[in-house]
Amino acid sequence: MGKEQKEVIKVTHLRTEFHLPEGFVRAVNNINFTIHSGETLGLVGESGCGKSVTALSMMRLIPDPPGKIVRGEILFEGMDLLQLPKNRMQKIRGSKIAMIFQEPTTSLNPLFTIGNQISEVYTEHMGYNDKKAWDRSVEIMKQVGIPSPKQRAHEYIHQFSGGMRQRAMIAMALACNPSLLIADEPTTAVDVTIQAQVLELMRDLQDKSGMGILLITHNLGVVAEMCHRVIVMYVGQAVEEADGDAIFDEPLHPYTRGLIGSIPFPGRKSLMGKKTLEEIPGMVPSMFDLPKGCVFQPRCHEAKDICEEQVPKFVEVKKSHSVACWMAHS
Amino acid sequence: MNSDVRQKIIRTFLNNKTAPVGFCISVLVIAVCLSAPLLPIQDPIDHSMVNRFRPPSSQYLLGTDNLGRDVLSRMIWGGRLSLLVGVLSVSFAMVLGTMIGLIAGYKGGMIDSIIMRVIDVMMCFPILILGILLVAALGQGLSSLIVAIGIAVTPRFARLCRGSVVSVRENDFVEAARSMGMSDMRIMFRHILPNIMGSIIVMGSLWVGAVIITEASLSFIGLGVPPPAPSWGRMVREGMEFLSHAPWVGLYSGLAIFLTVIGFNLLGDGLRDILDPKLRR
Repeated sequence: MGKEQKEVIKVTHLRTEFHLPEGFVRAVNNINFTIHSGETLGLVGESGCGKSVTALSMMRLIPDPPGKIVRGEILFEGMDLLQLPKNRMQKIRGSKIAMIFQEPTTSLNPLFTIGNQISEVYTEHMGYNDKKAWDRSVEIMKQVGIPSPKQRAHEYIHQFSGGMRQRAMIAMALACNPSLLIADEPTTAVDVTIQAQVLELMRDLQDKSGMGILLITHNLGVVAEMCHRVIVMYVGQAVEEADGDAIFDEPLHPYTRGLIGSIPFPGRKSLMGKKTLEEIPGMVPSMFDLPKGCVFQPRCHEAKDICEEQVPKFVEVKKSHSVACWMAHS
Repeated sequence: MNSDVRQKIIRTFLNNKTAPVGFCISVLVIAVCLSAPLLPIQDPIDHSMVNRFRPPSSQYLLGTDNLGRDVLSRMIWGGRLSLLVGVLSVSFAMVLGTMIGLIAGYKGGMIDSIIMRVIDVMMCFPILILGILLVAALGQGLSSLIVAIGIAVTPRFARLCRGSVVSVRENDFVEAARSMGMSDMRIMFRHILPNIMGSIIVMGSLWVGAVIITEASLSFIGLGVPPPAPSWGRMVREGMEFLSHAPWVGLYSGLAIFLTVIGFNLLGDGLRDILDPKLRR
């Protein structure tokens, strides 16, 4: 990683719940992680496993009601973000911690020019005057690789292509040089070539600034490419945590193995010695009605009695490699 | 706004067959009525018992009424009043209604519920009835009339605005703005309001017509601006009695109301086409 291993953010025992008319959901259940400067942590899992809710909880953007962060501590720059008064949290959002979203087309206001929207971040957070904000916006547009930034700053989002819109969003997020970037599925809505560009851009910017990145994705290819460390989530819980290589070389949790086993790639037959894609049997349980014991147990072919009775603890079984599975603990 | 957007707007407006007509009528009416003090017309309240009920002639282009007052002049001055009431009441309702709608729509929850229930109650009454009640409460006079009609129309703007806010606030760019640390006020006024202005402005232009009719109705029943100030409604009222032998007294004012309301309605339709982003593309 190169830079000093400074802790940028430390999340402990995060728990976010939703009280809905249909019932009660624990969307994030005891998530813990630390991100250091220059480090990219991947949060992986299927849709609905709580990855985005984790990110929104960190930014305190969970709508209350019906959601509520009921437990946990988020240490950032020596402060617990969950205890901060609202206006201080507002100052941190967009300047020290920034977020980019999956769909850049709808995340940008269609009525204002790109230059205008990026300038807004500067005028609101850094107190720049309009001219200085505009100049800096053009500069950062150049940094993220938007060609002819001086002209394009006067354009609207409908005049930008998908990849450019994504870059514009990244420009807005990085305007104030945040120490942490939360990227919620940044590559899901763009095509493959743009995906590669966006990831490369993020990596370059990270190298230059030393910011930490929380990368939320369901795409294991992106994880392999970008992440120094990975947490695999299932129905709101962390089931495995390891370094980027270790999670692919030696997945310990049956769910992780299932996810990796279901990646289609050429040459599969020879590499894996298997002919068919393996699917994980069954379906993700409804969050309103979780199984007792290990939540993955109904779909797991390695499950034993203990898995049905007791919730497995999240334990470090190898160096920097933790897993919540009774079978892996033995 | 860059030039290709501007061109698209003009093209869309001209594509709508009736909108330019509405625009011309509205502009004409406004121009003529607002320039009333400058036009070479008679004094609208100068009565002359000798010249009662004169039919249209070269001296009195639209004839005279039951008190010998020049109908043309009264029509122009009356139009000035009607337009003033129309535009000012609607502006009042637009501003107040938008504020209320923004707060109710954005904050949601209890505030929203309370505000909307009050709006619902007010909307049970037709504008005219509310207008009567409010004028009775506020007394007669131009400013109380404007405020009374303004208050009566406000709930409609509040409801429209609140509905638009509720749909716009779910948009990703609102969440993105929040994640950038923008305050609620800033999000409401800079991000949400411009995105809903279109429908509010269109409603505004349509309601100017409705308010003119309301003012005419109130004057008709004697609750508008007190005589001898001319008003289209009052002129139609007074003209009713003489319809058989001196139709010009009330007829032209009635026509004026008709034309003006149509003008503003067509203009409103044109504005809707311009401001609806889907139609514009």
